[in-house]
Amino acid sequence: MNKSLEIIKRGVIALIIPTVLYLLLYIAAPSAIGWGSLGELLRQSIAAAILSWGMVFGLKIGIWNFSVGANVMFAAIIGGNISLRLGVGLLPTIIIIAMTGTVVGLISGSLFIILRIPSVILTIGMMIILESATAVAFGGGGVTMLNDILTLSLFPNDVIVGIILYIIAFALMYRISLGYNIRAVGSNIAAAKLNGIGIDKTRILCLTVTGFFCGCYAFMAIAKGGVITPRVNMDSLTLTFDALIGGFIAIALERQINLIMGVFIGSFSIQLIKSCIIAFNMPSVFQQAIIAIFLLIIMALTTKSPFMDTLRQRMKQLISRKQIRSN
Amino acid sequence: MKKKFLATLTATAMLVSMLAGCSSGASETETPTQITEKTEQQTVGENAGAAVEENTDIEVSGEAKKLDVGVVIWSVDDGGLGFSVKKQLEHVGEILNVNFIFKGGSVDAESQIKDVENLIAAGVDGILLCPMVDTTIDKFTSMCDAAGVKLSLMFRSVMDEDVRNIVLASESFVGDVCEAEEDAGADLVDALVEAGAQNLALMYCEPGNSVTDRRQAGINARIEELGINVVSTYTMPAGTLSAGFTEGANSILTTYPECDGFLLSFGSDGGIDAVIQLVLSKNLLGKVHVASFDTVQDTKTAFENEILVAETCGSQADALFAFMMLYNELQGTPLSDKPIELLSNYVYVKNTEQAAKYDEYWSYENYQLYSEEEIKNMAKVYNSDLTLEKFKEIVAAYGYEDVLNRLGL
Repeated sequence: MNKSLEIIKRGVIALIIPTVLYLLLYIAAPSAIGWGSLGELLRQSIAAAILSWGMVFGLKIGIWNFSVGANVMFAAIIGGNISLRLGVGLLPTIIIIAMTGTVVGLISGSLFIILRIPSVILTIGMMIILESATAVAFGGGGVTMLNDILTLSLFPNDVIVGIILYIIAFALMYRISLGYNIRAVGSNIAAAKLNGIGIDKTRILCLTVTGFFCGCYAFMAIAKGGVITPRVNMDSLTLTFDALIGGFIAIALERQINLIMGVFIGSFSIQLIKSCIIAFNMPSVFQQAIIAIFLLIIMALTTKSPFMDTLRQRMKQLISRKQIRSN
Repeated sequence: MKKKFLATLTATAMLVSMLAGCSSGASETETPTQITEKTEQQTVGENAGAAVEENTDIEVSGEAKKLDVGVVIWSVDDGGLGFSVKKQLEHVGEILNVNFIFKGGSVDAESQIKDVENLIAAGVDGILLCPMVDTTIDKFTSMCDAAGVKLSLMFRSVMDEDVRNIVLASESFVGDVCEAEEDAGADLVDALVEAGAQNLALMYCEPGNSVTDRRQAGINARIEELGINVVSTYTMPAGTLSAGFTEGANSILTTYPECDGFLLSFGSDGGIDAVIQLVLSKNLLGKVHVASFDTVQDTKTAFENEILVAETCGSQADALFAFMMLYNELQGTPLSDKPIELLSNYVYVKNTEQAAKYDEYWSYENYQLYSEEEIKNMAKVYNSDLTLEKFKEIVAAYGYEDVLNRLGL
């Protein structure tokens, strides 16, 4: 009974953020509220969550991967064009694109271990290389797929894909040894090493898993628009930062809820913020800034620091003084 | 000792190559071009159809010079306008013996400045440029002035008054060609209203780009004039991935379910396709319409599903006209001794029939917008009867019917 109550309590705490945002949206745009629009917002969150699921594996062990956006483009353009040239159906196309992203992740992981350079530098280099490759490959025209793949963006296909990938992500993080190793390395790398966990192997697998989810996001991105064009000059960072934010929110909520669900809650919260920005007629150019501020607030509230501890103590004192006065 | 010698040799080689790269960029002249009389031409006004008084009587003799021309554009691999510009210029280059060096991918001022520096270092005779930021155009002209390289702008005019004064006074500036963006913006609003849209969502580019600023100004003016309701104005940075368009449009439709029209001030690189696919996936056919600048990849499908009501396209001719002004200047037979500013026409595609014809005749697969003879007629070195007035007539005539008529269709 106590355990169930504890789980419910944690779930409620985890859902406070999206609930508050949903109420804000209700104030700004009552017409936007309803089961239909809630369903739409949840569906919009799926694609962003896919990329963030990949990101969170790396974030958990301290790997900052700035190449996820470029990996998405690479997987979409290279994988997509290969499948077009082979003339294969939907399922092989999905597999080819996902595998392309996975291979890129594997290469990134291998380079990380071989070169021993910080992940930030390595992944920025990978980003530039991948962007350049997409600008040259197949005449630099990107990929246009106006075929069966577009059905993946329709309901309920997108939801089914989201559920399948959620299960895969959850299994990888919590049901197989990889997930245990990732969490062990993320908690205490020295202790993990002493316990015989292969740090290098874990890192390689981590980046490979990130690449897999980049590939999955790639075919969902193609399904949405049918066209993916190359981007250079680090334009793919926009995608990367969105994924990073989802991952950070998940880590901030980790004490309340598992990382994988935390990512989805984070993605859903970001979609609500974007809708609020539109509903309040705020300039959309500030979208990234507002989301970043939101993230900082969440992380500040959930991170232990002397300042926050003092603030929490003072809040508690204030509340208890008010209770005494009212009694 | 040996290492020092090698280091000195290498440094000297680098120094010499740098000096060679800093040459004026003058091309080799195969045969001299003789100008028998000095021209007196007035600066052309903004309207492409305006009359210009000329006292020109040029006799041109000799063969055309082989030229190297740099082209700085947002992309040549976008599968859309940038790609069409490249194909068109390559066709022109074969006819006029011009070697083009394309610099694509730069969408900010700093990157374009580097591109221009590199082209000047490569020794080009002239540069055809589509500037991304209006206020840096004077920087480009000063760089070209210093290098003795001529500059022509495509798809842009100089909006900022201070910058414009500096640019027009520049020795290197040949002129610019730009579409009538404000009018086109108003036309797109009309197309959406005609389709029944009353609650519009505007998907705009961030301010600072003179083209989209003018488009947006034209759209806003027409909306105000007609009293149309705007549910949301969503601003995106230039270079937004297509997923950004999907996200933005999706957020708008979720927040404002009454939204029945999207107007995009820029939609290249998959942006329009993303919005159209979103409307399709949400099964809003006939309920939500889209009008956009730039071209969708699959125009036929977009029109058949009655989503797209109008798109502006065909502006690749702008690049041709801007280049021909530059070409005449570089051949020593300028169309005017002062900068030329011209407005060119968009082609509007509003239905499946026009879309099919546009896809066929503007794709550069089997047809060219201008034949070899027509291109040479735009060059004084081949057509001594060419005047600025006649050139402006060619520019003013360009459009959907013009191209089909000249192709004999």
